[in-house]
Amino acid sequence: MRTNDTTAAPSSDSDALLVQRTLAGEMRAYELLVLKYQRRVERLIGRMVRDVDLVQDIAQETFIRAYRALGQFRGDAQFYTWLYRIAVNTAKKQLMELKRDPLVFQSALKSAEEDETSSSERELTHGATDGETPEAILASKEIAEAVNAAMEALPEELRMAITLREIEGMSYEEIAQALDCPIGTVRSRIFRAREAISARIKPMLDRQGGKRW
Amino acid sequence: MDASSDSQRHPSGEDAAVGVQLQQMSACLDGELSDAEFSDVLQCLDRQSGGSMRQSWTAYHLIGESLRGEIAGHRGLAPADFLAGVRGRLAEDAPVEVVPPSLPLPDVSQPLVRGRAANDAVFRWKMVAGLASVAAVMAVTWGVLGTGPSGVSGPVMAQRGGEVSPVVAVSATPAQESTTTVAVETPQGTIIRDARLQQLLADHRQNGMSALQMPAGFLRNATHDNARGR
Amino acid sequence: MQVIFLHPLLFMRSWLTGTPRRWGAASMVALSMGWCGVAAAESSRSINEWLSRMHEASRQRAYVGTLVVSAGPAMSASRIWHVCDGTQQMERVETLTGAPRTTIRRNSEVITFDTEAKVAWTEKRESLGLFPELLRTPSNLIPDFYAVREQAPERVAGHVSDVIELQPKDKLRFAYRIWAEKKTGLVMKLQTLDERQQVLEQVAFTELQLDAPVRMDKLKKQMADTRGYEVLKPSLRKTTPEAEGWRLREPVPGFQSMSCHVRESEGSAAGVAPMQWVFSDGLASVSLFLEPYDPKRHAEEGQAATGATHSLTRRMGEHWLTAMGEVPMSTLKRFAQNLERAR
Repeated sequence: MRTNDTTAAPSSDSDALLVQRTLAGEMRAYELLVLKYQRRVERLIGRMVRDVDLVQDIAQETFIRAYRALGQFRGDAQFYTWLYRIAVNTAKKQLMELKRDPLVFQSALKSAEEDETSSSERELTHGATDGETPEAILASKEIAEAVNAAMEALPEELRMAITLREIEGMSYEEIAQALDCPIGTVRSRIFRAREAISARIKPMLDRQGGKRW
Repeated sequence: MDASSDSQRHPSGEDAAVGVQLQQMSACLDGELSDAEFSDVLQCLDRQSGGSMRQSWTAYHLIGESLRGEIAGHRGLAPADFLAGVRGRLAEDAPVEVVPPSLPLPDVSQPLVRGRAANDAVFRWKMVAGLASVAAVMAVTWGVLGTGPSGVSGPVMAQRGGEVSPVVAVSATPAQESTTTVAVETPQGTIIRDARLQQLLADHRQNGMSALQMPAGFLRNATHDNARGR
Repeated sequence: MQVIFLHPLLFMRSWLTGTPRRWGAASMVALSMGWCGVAAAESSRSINEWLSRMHEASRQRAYVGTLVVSAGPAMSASRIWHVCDGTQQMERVETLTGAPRTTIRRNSEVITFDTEAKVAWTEKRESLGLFPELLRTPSNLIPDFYAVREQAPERVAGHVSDVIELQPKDKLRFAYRIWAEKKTGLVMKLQTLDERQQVLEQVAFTELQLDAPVRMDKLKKQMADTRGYEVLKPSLRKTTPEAEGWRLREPVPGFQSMSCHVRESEGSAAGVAPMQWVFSDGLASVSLFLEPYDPKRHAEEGQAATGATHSLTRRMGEHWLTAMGEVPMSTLKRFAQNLERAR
């Protein structure tokens, strides 16, 4: 049974597939990994570094390094654990450079990594809208509200399927048994649930629709 | 028994194909997609529809993260921007770089070391009749353009970064303490070495006026013009 | 509900960074026409607005970075620390190539340490304090002599930047291409281009950390700590061209007289040190150095160039002229032709 334990990595099987394809030269597969783990990496680094621009910088840098080092990733370990270490090392390296610098305030840099166990996130206080043109910000609170509203509007069987998958972490096989239906049905229902909910949150991702991706 | 139909609706043409791939992406997210099916997904990602597929992929993930409370309070860069950033950086590191032909791309992957010119208080002035590429990193050098009334000619000297061993100055003045003018011919043109010109350049830089001075101009001068002959 | 303002050009960004960099001007215009109906060549800001913004950017943010200067094959690099506290700006530049030098600036005061020779030069650079006030005065001729065009945004050192070109309206000056970080306006890269749009010189950050917490108190200490150094202070005597006996028959279009001084050092007789007469069109500077002709020292007439700076030396009667500036040689010649003794 899954709890709100964010240290548990998402299913590793898709990662293995994506990593494999990346190593085979498919950049598109790597892009999917980036999109998948962006927020987790940002959150992790945000615990170590206060400056928002720097967090994004280091987060992007993390994915660059991971890409370059992908050949060294041994498939037996979980990809996210490996990525996690790279994120921490990248952030530490940046901080070390700043730390070695006698001209830089040490108190403005936070101390080293904390364990990623807490699911309640501290608001990042750095305002993005001080009159400057901001990057598009992903505002999670809005998204959470929209997801909840969409969930309530879903037909029962779709809501059930996605809940068992996302919150209980059950496999398609397990869900098929629990609901007493074919696996193909499980796959279809989960997909349709996602489509219905996505319709509500896509506008928040990107004000221009899918064109910018 | 299901009350609803579990069969896919069938929109026409490309939409249908994308619909199938979207369902495959959904399964991929759950680790339930075969390698063979993933090939279809990859193909679709390369096409026009790729953008909206990536958007869906991200949205699907956000749903799960949201349901599990993993994103509460998080404010981060929009995924499209983040991905663009990563793509951009990967592209930057690639060897393909559009470089103006007259300017070699500064190679910052090399460790920056102090050249032997560090101790050379009198810098060399290179005369560039165009876009010469004289070897090695040299501090400010002046290149001669066109011909002055007393055109310079003299022994040919190989130019390398660092010290130039004493050269016979042809039409220039005999060596004086503070103003030594030395002329050197290279395949790319005539190089002059003129401490005085260097000094004036420093004065010119310090007292020049430009809206571009801050910060670029000032930083440039503090970085590039290192001769202090005074 | 958060209001997010998205500048039209933002929409182009992920296309641009995601695609190979070889877009042509035509396709760029097509892209932008589709998005916001404004031709890519038009600028969203006036030339003065751009320049003011660039100037202000460095006055409001702290940063640490690495700067590389390229002029032809010559390349120099330095590490930069910059901090401001609302009233003061401080900067430290440490060379990574060539002679080891550390330059520290507080507003207009500059000290340069030669860490090997143990000599330090202090100076007050008035020119550093002039902008942006100068931009706002009626005597600001920059818009009369340069036009601004905006290009597609690009990344420099990981920072998305607006790209603008300042194109001269005549042949007496060079063009500039400037990359300004999008959020702050900080200049990330600057190229000086000749009439064929060839790059004469480039200054660029190869890495930059905005808002790095630089310690101003430490910089102040370093600036004041001259122990072990011989401190030299150049003495400049302000003067006027008229007082020194010079004038321009005809002004060179766009270039205004900015200042005139004589550098005096110990032990040199009066009148020996060259007089420096500085002109500027707002972006480019020209210095005319005049000193008494001395056949022992002044033998070479000629023209030379380094990076974007050109120089012209010639005899003028009893005097020796060295004209120098980040302008085409023809401009220096024009100065030389118009220069004459006034008494």
